[in-house]
Order: sequence, then structure tokens, then C-alpha cells
Amino acid sequence: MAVTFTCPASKLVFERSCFLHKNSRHVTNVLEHHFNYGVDILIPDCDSIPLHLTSLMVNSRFFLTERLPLAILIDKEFVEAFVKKGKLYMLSYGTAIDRDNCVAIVPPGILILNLTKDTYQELGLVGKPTVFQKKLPTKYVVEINLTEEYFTPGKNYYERVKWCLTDRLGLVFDFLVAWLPHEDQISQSSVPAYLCNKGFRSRAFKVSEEITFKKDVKYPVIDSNDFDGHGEGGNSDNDCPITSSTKYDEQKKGGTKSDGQLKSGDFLCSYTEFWEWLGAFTCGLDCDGSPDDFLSTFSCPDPVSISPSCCQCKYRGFILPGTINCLIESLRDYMKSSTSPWACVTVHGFTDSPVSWRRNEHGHHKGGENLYTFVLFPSEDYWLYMAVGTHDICPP
Amino acid sequence: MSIFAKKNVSKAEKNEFVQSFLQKHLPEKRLRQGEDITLQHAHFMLDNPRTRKRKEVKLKRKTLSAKERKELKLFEIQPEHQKYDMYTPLHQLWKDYMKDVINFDKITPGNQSQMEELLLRADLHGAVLTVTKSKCPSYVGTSGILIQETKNTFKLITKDDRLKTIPKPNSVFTFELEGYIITIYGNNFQVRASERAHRKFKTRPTVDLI
Repeated sequence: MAVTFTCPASKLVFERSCFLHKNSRHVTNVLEHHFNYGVDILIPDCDSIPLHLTSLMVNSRFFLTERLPLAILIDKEFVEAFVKKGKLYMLSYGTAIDRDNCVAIVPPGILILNLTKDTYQELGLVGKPTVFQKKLPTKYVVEINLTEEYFTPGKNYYERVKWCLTDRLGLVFDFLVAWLPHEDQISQSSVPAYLCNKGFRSRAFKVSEEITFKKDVKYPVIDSNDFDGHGEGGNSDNDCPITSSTKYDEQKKGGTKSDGQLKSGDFLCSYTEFWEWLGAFTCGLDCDGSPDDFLSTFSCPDPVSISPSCCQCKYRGFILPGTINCLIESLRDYMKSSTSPWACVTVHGFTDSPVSWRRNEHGHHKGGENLYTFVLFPSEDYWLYMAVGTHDICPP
Repeated sequence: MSIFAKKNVSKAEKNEFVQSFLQKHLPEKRLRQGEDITLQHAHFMLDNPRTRKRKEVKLKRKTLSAKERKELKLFEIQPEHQKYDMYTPLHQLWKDYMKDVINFDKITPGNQSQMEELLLRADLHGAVLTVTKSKCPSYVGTSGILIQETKNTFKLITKDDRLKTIPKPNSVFTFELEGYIITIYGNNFQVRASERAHRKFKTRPTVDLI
């Protein structure tokens, strides 16, 4: 008996640009994606990964504060010290976005409460119903700008928020905390130190690292200008083409026509095929395409190149967008001197984060994925994929 | 008007004339029955016999119509009367009244449903109501003495002397009484205060809370 599951709708935004282009949005794009759970780096033809790349990630720390009441976050002292200065990222931990109340603080000092219907009706703070459920919404989003001038003790709005968070419902959450200080002298751990003084325990964590080298890996050949896979230089007149596609296997025809005997330059791997391969490879699929394979008959799209050693790094933790920007910068430097044809950085967002890009609301639906991938080329060109699930607003 | 009015004749002459007139004109059969004598005393009005209808005097309404009441703003609470302190005696009065209605010392799990029935019929004017849950979050937390109840709204006077009209539907209210916290689900409370005292409430297995 065959059971078919309909594929949940998803959105993929593809962008091709150059790091040197004056309108390139790679920095803002990374900074606008606030909550990053994992970073995957893939570099073909690479024997050893430079130490400064890995140390950058491993040295970044984050904290888990347990049972922190929300009222602390709107405390004037806290707002002045950490929210207004530096960049504070906080995300409630262990809360499922489709079931529980979720809370986050994103720069520049915006407190986002993603509340269930019951909590919203009892709390007494005005917000908006979720955009994903038009009829009978079960989730509501309340946004409070902590840096606003009128948000000071004594003002009506502040007193109301304070009363709602302390007297009405004493909302308490476990928080992942990371703070980027505004000055180098100040330690990152000032936030947990402050919270510790108030009597809330924090634990420090390091970003976990896993580096593997794979031998003799088949990987598709791609060209930075030829994202369509229709021969070299096609459509290169567009500086920043943006293609949105909901079906990933839309352009498979180009790949199946080529026999693997074609010279590179005739038909190259298109951006959708490459992304599919990247996903399969990262998941550890064999990609040898044997026809009687029980699990998958997926094969690496042609034309194929073989790398003697392929470097794969996995980082997991609460990673700040600033760190990822530094990582991309150092990868760019690395690409200038290396022989690798390209390098990939895939960044996964938290599936239960209340926001994806900017302050766009994020929901879980079936997967809750919100991720982006940079494909860096030695020529300083890059491809950028941004993908989100059903309950998401299209990334910028 | 009489036909003799113009002539100056005596009564005897009149009678004689009527006698002879009737003898002359009445048919024989009626004469034999002696009608000439009875008819002598019968009166006939010669002018239009229809009388004018009497004009009915309209009864004046003793009460004001709804429109008049609205125009007079009878039930509106004047701004100078919107003072919380003015209504604290009302709250005290209401507390005594509730003590009369419900004997709080004798509440047992057994008779609790009876007490609830009594509570349902009791007057709430003077109670300190608080909105604990509402579809509109701005109403949440509003607390004050109930000074007026309509079918669909509660009018509360808050501690900062402001009159708040809060719709009953889509809100949940609570009040405290002798250590008990009583919750009112506004959706199921949309009855006039006066009607509530006599109304028969149906017990439903499930109710929509909000």
C-alpha cells in the first residue's frame, strides 16, 4: 500500500553576487538572521583547515540561564547596560514555537513574545495574531521595543508592561544568552555575571565542533557565472538575479540529458541541482546512484569532479551572526590562496525561533527550517541560497 | 321643533287636532287596536336623530418612553458623580447584602451548587470586578466597583475615578467575596440584572469560555 505525503510548501530564494559589489547584501543578510543553531562548512580539495577558521567558531561562547523571569529583561538597569549597548541575543530554550510561549530579544533591543492564545488573553499586552492562521489564530505576537524613549519607569506603557509581566503572569523561561559587547575590554560574560548577582544561575557552553575529512569525494562542477547550468556565461548580464522557486527538482532536465562525457562548459550543474546534492552530501548520503539501492538512488549531478580530500566541519551551538560574518570573511581570505573550486557555508536557524530574518515571524509547521547557504568562489563571487518552510515569510 | 310652535293654541285644541288627525290617517286595523291613544303620547324627533360621537380623552402615559429616557440621559452617570470614594459605601452595602444572601459559614461541598445558584441570581451592583481574561488585551486588569449593569456591559468605576464600560462577551471577570474567588464568564452572562433574578438558567455540559 502506497502512502503519499504531500510535500509541505517551502520557499527558496537564490541570489548571485560578488563580495566586492557595492550593493552586495551579504553582511546584512547574515546579521539579519538572528538565531543560528548550526554552521556546516564544506570545502573540497582541502587537506587541512586553517586554524584561525576553527578557532573563531570554537572560541565563541554562549550561556544558558535557567528560570529567568521576563520582568528582569525590562529592568531599566539591564536595558541600559546590555540592550542599548552592544548586541544582545536571547532566545527561550526548550519551548516549541507551535505549542508554547516563545520569547526572544533581537538587536536593536526588541523583545518578541510569541504567545499562545490563552496566555495572550490573560497577559494583557496588545499584539497581533499570527500571520499564518487567518481564522481562529492560536498564536499571537507581541513586540516591545526596549530601547524606545517612552519605555522608561514612570511612563504608562512601561508600568503596564511591568505590571503584566510581574503581577499578572509571572512568565519564566530558560534562556540562551549571547551578548556582543560594544567595547573590546568588556567581557562577554557580563550578562550572566549580572544575572548571577540577581540570583539566576547561568551555565557557559562552547560551540561544539566536528571536523571530518572524506577521501575521494565526487562533487559536481559549478561555475559562478553559470547558475542556470545552460552553458557558460548564460544570463551573466544580471548582477543580482533573484530566483524564487518552490519546487527544488524544477530544473532537473539539464542534468539528466548530459552523459557525463560532456566537456565542462556545455552543461554544468545548475543551482537547484547543486543545492540538492549539497543537502544529500551533508546528510551523509552515498550519492553513488546505484539503481537498486533501497534507500536512495540519488546520484551526484554531472559533470563530476573527484576530490582527493574533502573537508567537512560541523558547528553546533548558539552562534552569533557576527561570528558567521567573521567566518565568511576569513573563508574569503582562504579562498584566495587555496586550490578549492568553491567552499560552502550553510547556516541553520533554530527551528523554534520566533523570527527568521529581521523580525519576520517564523513558525514550525512540519519542519521549521530556516537556513541559508553561501557558496564562495575564488573570484570573490558568491551564491546565496535562503530557504524557509511553510510557516515563514519569504526572506528578504 | 314642533309644528304648533308658531300658532298660539291651547292644549285642548292641540289634543283635539291630534285626535282627529290620527283618526283620519291611521289604518282601520291599527285604530281598532287602540293605537290612536298610545300614539298621542309618542314623541318623534323631527331633526337629525344622529348624535355626535364623544371625543375620547387620551390617557396620559405615566412613564417615559425609551427614546425620552435616552434623550434625558437618565441612566448616564454624570462626570461629577464618577468618584470611586462615592461608591465605597455601596460596596460595603453590597457586601452586607451578599452575606444575607449567602451564608458563607455553612458552605459545604454538598450545598455548593445551591449557593452557586443563589450567587447567580444575586445583584452584583457594588461588587469589585476585575477583568482577568479578554479577547481584547487592553481590558485585562481593569478593576473597579460595578455601578451599572446592562444586558451586554458592565460599567465599572476604577480607583483612579474613571468610568469604564466593559462588554460582557469575550471577557472573564472575577470578584472576591469572603475568601472565595468567583469567576464570571461574560459570554454566558448576557442577561439584564433584573431578568437574571427570575430567569431559569439552563445547565449545559460544556460552555464556550471565550
